Amino acid sequence: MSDIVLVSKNDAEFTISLEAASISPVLKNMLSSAFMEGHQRRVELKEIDPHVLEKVADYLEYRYKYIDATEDEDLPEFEVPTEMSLELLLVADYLNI
Amino acid sequence: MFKIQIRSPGGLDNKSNTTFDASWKILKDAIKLIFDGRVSELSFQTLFHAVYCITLRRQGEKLYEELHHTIERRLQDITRTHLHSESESYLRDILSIWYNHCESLRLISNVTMYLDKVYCKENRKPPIYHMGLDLFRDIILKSSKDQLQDLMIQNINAARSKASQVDFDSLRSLVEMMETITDEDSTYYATEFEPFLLHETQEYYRSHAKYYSGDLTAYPQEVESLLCGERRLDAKFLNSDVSIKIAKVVEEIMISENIHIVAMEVVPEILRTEQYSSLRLLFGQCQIQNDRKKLWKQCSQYIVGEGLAIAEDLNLKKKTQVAVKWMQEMIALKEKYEVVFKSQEDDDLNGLQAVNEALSVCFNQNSRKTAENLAIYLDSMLRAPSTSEESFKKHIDDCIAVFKLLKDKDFFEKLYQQQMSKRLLQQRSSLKFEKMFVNRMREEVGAVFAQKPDGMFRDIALSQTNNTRFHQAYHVPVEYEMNVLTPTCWPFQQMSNEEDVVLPSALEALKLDFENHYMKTYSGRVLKWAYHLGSMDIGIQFSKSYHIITMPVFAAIILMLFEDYVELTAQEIGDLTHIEEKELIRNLLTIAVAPKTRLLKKQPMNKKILPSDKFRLNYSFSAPSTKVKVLAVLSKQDSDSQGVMRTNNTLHDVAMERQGCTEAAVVRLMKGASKMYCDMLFEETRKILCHRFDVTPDLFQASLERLVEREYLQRDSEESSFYHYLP
Repeated sequence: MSDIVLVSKNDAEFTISLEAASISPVLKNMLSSAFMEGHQRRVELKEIDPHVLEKVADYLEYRYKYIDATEDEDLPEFEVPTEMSLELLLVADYLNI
Repeated sequence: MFKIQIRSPGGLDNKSNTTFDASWKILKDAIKLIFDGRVSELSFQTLFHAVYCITLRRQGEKLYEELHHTIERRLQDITRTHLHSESESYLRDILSIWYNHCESLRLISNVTMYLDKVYCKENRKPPIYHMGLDLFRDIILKSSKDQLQDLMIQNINAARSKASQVDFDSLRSLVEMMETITDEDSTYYATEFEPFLLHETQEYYRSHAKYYSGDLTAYPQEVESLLCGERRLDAKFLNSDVSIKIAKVVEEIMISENIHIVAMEVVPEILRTEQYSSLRLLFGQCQIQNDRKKLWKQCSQYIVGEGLAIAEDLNLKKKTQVAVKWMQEMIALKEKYEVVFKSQEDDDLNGLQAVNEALSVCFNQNSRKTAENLAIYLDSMLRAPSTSEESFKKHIDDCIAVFKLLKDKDFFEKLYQQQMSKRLLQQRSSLKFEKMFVNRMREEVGAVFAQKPDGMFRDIALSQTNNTRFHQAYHVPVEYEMNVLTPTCWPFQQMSNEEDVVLPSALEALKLDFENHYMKTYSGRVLKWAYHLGSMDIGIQFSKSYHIITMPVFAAIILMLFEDYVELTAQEIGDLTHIEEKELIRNLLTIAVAPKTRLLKKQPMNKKILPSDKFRLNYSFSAPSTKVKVLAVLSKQDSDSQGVMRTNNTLHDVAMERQGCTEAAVVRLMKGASKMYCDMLFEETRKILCHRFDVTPDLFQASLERLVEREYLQRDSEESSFYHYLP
């Protein structure tokens, strides 16, 4: 398992696994194609605030962890602070999550 | 109250001040680098973000058009620079352009994901990737279409004729390419290439079939090896469903299009040379029902030819031998082809039907002759002394099979009854086998057939019981057997004046005794004696040896006169016995002229019988065995005329019966329908009677006339072909 780095506004870095990042088709394409990001293993998302990107990174890991879970299983809730919801929505749209 | 503050996001397009042109420039330069394969210098994120910003600013349409335009120009450039029609590696050139294009498109469409997601979906435009494929189709494939297809088919045909090595990988890749690219609602492959491929395949095999010069019987093998080769070839670059289509085309061209040659020439040749495995192949290749029918028809016609070629072997002396040999050959023919056709791929019924149709034609070429031969064949089977039950059952099956194909079934029945009655009275056959045949016929053709035979069996059985009783009740000096026959069941005509015949006294007494005995049991019945059907055994001591002689009753009556007389003229014999003249002469010929059974000496010694000829017992008679059988001879012309007369009688009987049957059928039909058109009535009547005989229009018309005359039917006053039933 290899890790990749997401970089936010103000150059905060978040490390997640490639598999978790691949939940987002956009990140997946970005990292698997011949583009620069593919070999640098570093994605700069400088338009996104650090606290939002952190939440996104958490969410991706959370999704990846339970990727095989069926619907009946009891999953822990993923907490989304209400005040952050709009910002998250925007990023979700961007990353196509 | 606790108030939740939702931060309003600033948006991700924080460089909102950038113009479309600036963003587009970034993308345009990037696309150029992508096309040139320098993608690793680019940042996905930057490009993705640019597309994102443009799309968000509702400039998606403009971006889409620019992309379209850029890709289009790029392909046009490539056509000019990379695609040379004289290039030897034309096919591979196209492939390499295709692969590059696909890779570039994939990268571009990755970057433009957001555009696809937001703009294309909403505006129902094809995603960028598909748009790029469509452009490839419109620019590269349309311009190269003819050359591409020609080259491909050249390669394929070269592979078909094994002329040269063919690059199947390229072909396969090209086919895959065409299957990837859409065209209208289907793929480019399906709309453009497959019709072309199938058409060219037709042409190829059409000319192949036209110039086929091999052995006719090898034609199915040739087709099979073509199919096999084609399958191998197709597997290398086509999908299996296309292979099936192509195989169909090959069969269609090689078999269906040439079905006339195949049926008219190949089939007879195969049958003639008995190469039945080829026939099997051919039927496997012939998928179309109608064509198969044609093949079967030809098979059938071939058998007809073979069947008609089986002539009666007139070198054989006896009519029986001729008939038996002919039947055996016909049955052998039938069995031969049944076995051959049973092993064909087709369902068995078609093959058997073909054999049956063929034989039906052969048999009905001269239906009466066949009926006669069949009857004789059966007769000789039943007379054969030592037939095993197993083989007899087989013969019965053969006979029934032939019978079923026969048109003149009633004619056979008549002959069969005549012969059967003789066998029964002369005890020449085993009752068990006789009954076996009748029972099988009852199963196969219905109870009507068995009616008269059953009557005969009954009479024979009853007579045996009667004889035993008679022997117990009376003192009978000789062995004596009587058969009392019900006239309706037995096919004999009563001789007119047998009543007058004077019996020797011993016999006369016996006869009276039997009559008395019979009347006791069955009062009210009339017994009529049919001497001509009987026979007698007489033991005589000649000068050299003692012989037991079996002879017709009339001959015996004549012979017994010489117990009392030494010499008699023919005239005197007639006066003493009252035997009818013709019968008298016949019996005198039998015992005085026929070389092996000359029991009487005739004066003068010649072959004619005149009233004045004198007869006396021939004591010098001798024969190799103690038992001698006297066969009633017929002078040559006599026998011929008698034979003809018998046949004519039979024919007459049959004709009368047919008339009756037809009339009955018509009346039955009209009773139900009450009115009907003549044609319809004819068809229906025919249908009803087809299991017995074929109703001819003449017979039908004659029957109608008679029914009208007898006022069963009435012709419509206005329409002469319309009939009413008169109740």
